[in-house]
Amino acid sequence: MNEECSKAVLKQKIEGKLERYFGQTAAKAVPQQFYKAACMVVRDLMADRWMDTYGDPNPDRPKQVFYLSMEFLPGTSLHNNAFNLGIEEELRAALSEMGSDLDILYGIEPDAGLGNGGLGRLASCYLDAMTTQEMQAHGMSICYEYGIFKQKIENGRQVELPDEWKALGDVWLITKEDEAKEIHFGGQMEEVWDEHGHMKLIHSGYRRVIAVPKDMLISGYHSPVVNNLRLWEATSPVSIDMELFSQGKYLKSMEEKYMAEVISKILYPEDAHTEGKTLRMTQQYFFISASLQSIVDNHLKDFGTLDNFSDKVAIHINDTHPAMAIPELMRIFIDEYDFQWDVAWDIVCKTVSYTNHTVMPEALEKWPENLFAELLPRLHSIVMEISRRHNRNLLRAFPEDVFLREQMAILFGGKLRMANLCVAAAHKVNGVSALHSEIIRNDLFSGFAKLEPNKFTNVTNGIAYRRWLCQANPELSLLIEELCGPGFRKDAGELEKLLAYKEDAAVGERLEAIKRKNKIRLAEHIKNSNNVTVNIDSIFDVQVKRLHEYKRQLLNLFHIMYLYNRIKEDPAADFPPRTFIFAAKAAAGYYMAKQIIRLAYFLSRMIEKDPAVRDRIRIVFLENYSVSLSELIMPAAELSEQISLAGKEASGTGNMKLMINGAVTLGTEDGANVEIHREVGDDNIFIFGMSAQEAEELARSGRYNPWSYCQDYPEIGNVVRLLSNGIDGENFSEILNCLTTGFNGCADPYFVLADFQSYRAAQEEAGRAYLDRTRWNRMSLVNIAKAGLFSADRAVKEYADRIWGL
Amino acid sequence: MKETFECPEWLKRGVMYQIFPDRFSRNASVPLPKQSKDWVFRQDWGGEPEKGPDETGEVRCRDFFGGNLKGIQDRLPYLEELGVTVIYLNPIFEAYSNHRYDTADYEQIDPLLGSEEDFCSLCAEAGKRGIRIILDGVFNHTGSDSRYFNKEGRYPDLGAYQSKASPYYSWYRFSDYPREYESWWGIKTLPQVDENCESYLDYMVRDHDSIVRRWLRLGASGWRLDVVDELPDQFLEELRLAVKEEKPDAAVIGEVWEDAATKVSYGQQRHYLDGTQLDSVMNYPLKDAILRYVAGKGPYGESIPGLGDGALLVQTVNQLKEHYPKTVFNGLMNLLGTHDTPRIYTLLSENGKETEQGRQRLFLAMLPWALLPGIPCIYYGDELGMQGGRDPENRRCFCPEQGQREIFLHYKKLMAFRNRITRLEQMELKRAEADGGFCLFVRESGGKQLIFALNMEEAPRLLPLEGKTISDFFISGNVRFSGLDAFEIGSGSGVAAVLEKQGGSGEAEAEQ
Repeated sequence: MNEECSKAVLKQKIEGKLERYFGQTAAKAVPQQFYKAACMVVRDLMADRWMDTYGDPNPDRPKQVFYLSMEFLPGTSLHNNAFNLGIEEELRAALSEMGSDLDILYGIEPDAGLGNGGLGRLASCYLDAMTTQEMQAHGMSICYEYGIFKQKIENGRQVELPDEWKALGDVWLITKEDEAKEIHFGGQMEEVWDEHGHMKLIHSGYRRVIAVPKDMLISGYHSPVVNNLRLWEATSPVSIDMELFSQGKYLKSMEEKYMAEVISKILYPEDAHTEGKTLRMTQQYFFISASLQSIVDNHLKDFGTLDNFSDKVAIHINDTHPAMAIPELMRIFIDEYDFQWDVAWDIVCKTVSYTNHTVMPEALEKWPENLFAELLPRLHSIVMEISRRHNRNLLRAFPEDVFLREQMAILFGGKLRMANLCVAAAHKVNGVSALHSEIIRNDLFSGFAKLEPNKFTNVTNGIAYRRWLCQANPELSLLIEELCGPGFRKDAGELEKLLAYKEDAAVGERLEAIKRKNKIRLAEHIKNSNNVTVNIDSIFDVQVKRLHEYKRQLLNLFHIMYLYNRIKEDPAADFPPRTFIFAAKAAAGYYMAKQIIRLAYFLSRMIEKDPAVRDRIRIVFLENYSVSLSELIMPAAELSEQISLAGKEASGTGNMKLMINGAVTLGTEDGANVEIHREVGDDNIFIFGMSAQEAEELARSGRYNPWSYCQDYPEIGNVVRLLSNGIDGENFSEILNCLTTGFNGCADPYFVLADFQSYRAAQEEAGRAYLDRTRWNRMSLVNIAKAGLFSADRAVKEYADRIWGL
Repeated sequence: MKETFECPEWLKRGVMYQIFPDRFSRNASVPLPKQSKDWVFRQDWGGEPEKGPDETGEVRCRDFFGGNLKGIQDRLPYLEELGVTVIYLNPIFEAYSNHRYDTADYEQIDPLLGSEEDFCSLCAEAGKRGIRIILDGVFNHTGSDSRYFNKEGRYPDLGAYQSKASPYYSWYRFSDYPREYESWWGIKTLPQVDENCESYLDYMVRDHDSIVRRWLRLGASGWRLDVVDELPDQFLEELRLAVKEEKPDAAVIGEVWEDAATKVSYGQQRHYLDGTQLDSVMNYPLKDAILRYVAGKGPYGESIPGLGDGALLVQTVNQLKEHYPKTVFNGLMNLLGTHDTPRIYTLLSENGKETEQGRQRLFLAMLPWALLPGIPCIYYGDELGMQGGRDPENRRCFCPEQGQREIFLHYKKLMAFRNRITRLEQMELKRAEADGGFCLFVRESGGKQLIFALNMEEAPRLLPLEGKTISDFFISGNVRFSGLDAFEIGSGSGVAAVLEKQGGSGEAEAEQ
């Protein structure tokens, strides 16, 4: 490992790259060139390791995992790869000798934003963990030219700008033209009988799109294994139609090329709502077909047969977006390799496993059947057969229960329900927190659970904790190493050794000092980006995640308005000052989410203008939330807002990243919060609000009357009045009405008003606890110590043991 | 007009629920009785009721799905949760057909429905939950296949058809004995009785154990009188006296399809509402007016002019208020559908094709139905958006799992809102006004107001609240706050609000 990575060797390699690729000497090179050169060198080191494992066919290859996900959020890679390979210090030294600065290079790299939020980041955390555990595991997705949009807030309005990540980010991508695959769309199926009386289905009249793989190598912590994230880029077999061109139809001559390229052009920014559009369906099939063809081809290279496919291949479906893998795999086996249906189905079932990430009905994909049939005729006929057999099983299992059978059907009412398809085929289905897995077993997939109870299991989410602790918070890591030894870097469970220092006030003070340093760093960023100077000694109260009504940023803002009213009413009211830090992107078409951002913006402005208020509570909305920004925020956070309506957030992962950095959670018993609570105990967390069951009951009874809360509680009534009078001269009648009137009177669907009093009390308690420094530092320590369970290493091991059979 | 005439209090508040017993709920532990009549037991609960004539060319209504009294008792918790305080049962006495309007024996509960014990138990259990039971009194005709007429000879009694010596011979009017006799609409299975006949009066009303009295004693809280236009004054007056003697707060509600105060039947001006006969009537005129306003449809779904014409709706309401004694007006049985009409959801949704439109129209129609003075009556299954055209389609089996959840929730919420209004029964209707497609109704008592507004205009309408405190409100459709002192009511939408003058009941708020 070390011979090729000494400072001298690295220096030499970087100089070589500068010369050969940029025609520059180290003395004259600019930071962008240093950055690219450094990345290339690191990439080469990884490529060597990759070749060791995957360069040659291996008939004794252990079982591989293919993690299919429509989204991955790697964030930045230079820091992570250098850290994982253990060459960070040598690299830093080599660069500094050449007149460059590694930290500046870190700052140059754009986030690869090939995902919307938690789902994509989880996939990347898992790749890191699997590679660290030395598993042979790969990710597959789309190489979006434009990832998640760049967010700018202009006068309260979110503006979405294209994300130009590839200019600097594509240095990590290795193009493998020879492994390109052809994907077919549209057309029709014909039955053809051959001379032996066998029927073959011929697909004709289809459009051809070429999928070119761009591989992003994935490193693991101190691991000899390097795995692959294969990203597919769409291109056309035809660049230009010369005939049309010579007729002067310039745009039309390029049409076929552009129609193909548009497939991998841009990531759909919706994450809690399905995009029922043909392009999205096209994207899914594009990446699925390419990925599966690739997997099958490589399998044959290793083993020469497909008979052992399910023994050597595990295909994991992350949410339902890759669900087409099921019929596509059937198609490949049946059409291209002449497998019988039953044999093929058996293999597919044993190979495929599925993770469900949401119970919200609007997020469960349902394709219109006619659209599906038009775009993918062969897949459609396969799905019809799968559905027919499935219905037959259902009829046998539940002959009396028409309603249940309808609920469990794959094709119903002209719609193709992808979640049911996944659950019917996968040999294992899991939820992402104990609570969520219970809910999907008892509720969403109750019929399937009755049919095959052993199919359902749980694997609580985990995070690549090294990124958020060791890389993002080096001072904290050093402290932990000093107190507990270095083992925690490889095994997060060792963090528990910190508990020995629980009552050690000196250790608590050192934690506090580190937190303060991190807060100063964040405050600098805030000054640069928002031109606001925050009070370092205020509580850094943080809510950073996608903007969605179920996550209830609105509850947080509602409480801030309550505090505002309180200060205006009673200037002598005593509570510790707070800086409320928000960062969130709203899906482009999500009107209410954008209204909430607007509210945060103008509330912040109103407070800034008011000297009586701004030193006591302050709102900061940080633009363009990303993995990189979270690496700056988490180490500085003190109070972690995890306040979704119980039963809605499948797990959450931001909660874990905050926890491991010593922030104390203020949250509902939802998702992984339940398990965080269990780990840290009642004394080290602030829990409030309805339980998932209570919320469900209240919704079902139809008796929720938000207006009565406005009447009965003057604090609530006063905030409603404040909203209706306008904030900083701006009208917020949509939010007001959402909370009070709604459509057909269904107001406040996420029970902001119902949970308000409980939330307020918890906030008050948190404020009191903060003033007791010893107590707070102890809570912070316990959170760090107990965060080990939420490591992706643990999660991935559970997948490997219980689901993938590695 | 009798001075002391007061309609029973419990008709002025609460919620009524009409049940067609064969189709509501079946408790399978009740064994199927052996019966000598020919009938078909339908094992397929939820299946389509038989329609049209059978193999003999007659419409016989002899397919039974087996709903029974124990089944109704099983569903009492469901009804209680919905806020029901009165159950109106379609006929439950022994009869040949599945609608049981052809009574065979007034003294017996139909064996398929259960026993007299089942009835008493149902009344007792319902009473514990605050629910009264009123029965369907079919006194204008009996069945031809009955104890009294005994055309088929199935009963041991000597029936009027069998011999002129029958004790019941005087009840009926034969023009050509025994084959030709007066019957309801000429339907041979429904021979009409002469209500002035002494022995009939004794049997039905006067005797100590008369039909009208005995069932009240066993637990009923009143009678809905079938085809009241056919019942003569003397019968009605004696019936009322008997009922009030047995139970002073029992109710007598008449089936009258038009304005009951101006009704003329058989050339005679009726005086149902002067305190000597009925307590209240089924408010068919209101249903017709609402249906016309909300959907431009007549009672059977035919297109008629008047869609969105607020003046017509308000005119009907004001007319009823003027014509009816106040106590009757405050206790009217307000309905959107019964066993005799197509289901309201079917009428509003173009037979189920326009689901969203049907729902929103229904939600709008529910506001005047539930909030005008009187007691709103839910025809079983309408709270689930059940569909069905004319009889027998409107009498399908009650299958709550297949119900429309959104509609059910809306009913629940509206009933809960209504229930929260304290002393609603004291709130008199003070104003009913219209402006084009916009209608406004105001009920008032003391410093408290219940106002509800409906908007069938294309454009939204503003409803200013003049600085009063909104202590509660209910929305159908698209209604928003405009500031905190006015509602903006979208097209096809409506709102109801309970208003108190500033500083009214509850916590006094500091003046800002």
